[in-house]
Amino acid sequence: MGLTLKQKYLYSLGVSFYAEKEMLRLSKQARKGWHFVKMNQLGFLVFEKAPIQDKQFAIDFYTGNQTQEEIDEYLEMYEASGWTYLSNYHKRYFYFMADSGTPNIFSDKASYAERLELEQKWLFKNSFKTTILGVIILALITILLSYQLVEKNFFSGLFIGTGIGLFFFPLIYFIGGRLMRWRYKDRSEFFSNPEEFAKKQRFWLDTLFNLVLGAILGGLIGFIFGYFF
Amino acid sequence: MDETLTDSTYLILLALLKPQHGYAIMKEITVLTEGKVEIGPASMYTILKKLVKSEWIRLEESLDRKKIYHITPTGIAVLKKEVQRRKIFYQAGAKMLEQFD
Repeated sequence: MGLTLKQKYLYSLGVSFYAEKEMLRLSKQARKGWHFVKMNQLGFLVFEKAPIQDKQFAIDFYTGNQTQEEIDEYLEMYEASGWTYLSNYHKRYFYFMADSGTPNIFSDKASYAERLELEQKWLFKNSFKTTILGVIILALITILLSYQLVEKNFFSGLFIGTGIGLFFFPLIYFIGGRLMRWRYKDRSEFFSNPEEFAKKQRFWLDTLFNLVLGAILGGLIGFIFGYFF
Repeated sequence: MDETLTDSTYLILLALLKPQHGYAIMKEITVLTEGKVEIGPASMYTILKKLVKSEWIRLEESLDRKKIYHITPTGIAVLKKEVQRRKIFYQAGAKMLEQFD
């Protein structure tokens, strides 16, 4: 008999804005006999067949240095509080599991608010990586067009659109992120009770709202800057 | 940093009057509060980072290369002020409740 590892995948709702809701999903899967393993590179949650367990999960955004000593120290604090380390995503998001009834990883509102703030700053800073990519695409297409190596057609237009979109992503992210924080402004109040907060999170409604917002902002930016190409 | 300390920050600073590493701080706080307060690991880590940044505590390297934290003179001054503030609250409460003893 060969070793059969039964695995299943679920899409992730997003680790920063829907962490609470996501953790409830992990608990639900554990009760069905699916043990959470990790979030893979493509952003899918990986589960393996396991005995049915009544567990709670936590995800934390790690703000420290990327050295092994500091990460070990960080994980040690979790182990000491009854939280078992499971896996991490790019050494930024760390997943933990504990028996039901273990106090949450945050014990006061101020530190949770601080940690949410640090995460948003980091995400915003990171969103500028797409700006660089946007600049490269736009520079390339400009050169190609000016030497008449490509024609102005649907495809070059698509590249220009993508380049502009990537270039302005931090701006769109900033506006979208602000609106999300405004919509869920009492998030830090639920520092010790993420399950309760998860009930208030409306993933599909927010997604629809963000798509519309993205389309409007994207259209507006495209309309203004398309003129230059 | 805000002048009024949260309970968690107050307790962490107290625990760091002697040099300790993260895990030991958590245990110390449980002893200090007779098991009534437990600081969550994520809160603990976030607060330690913030305290280092504001130079109320500093990192020292121990013999086993483990990172240990220790309060700074600034931290002690902040703590003294905070104890005074908490004393006023405590004394007012104790005095006014005397008549009910």
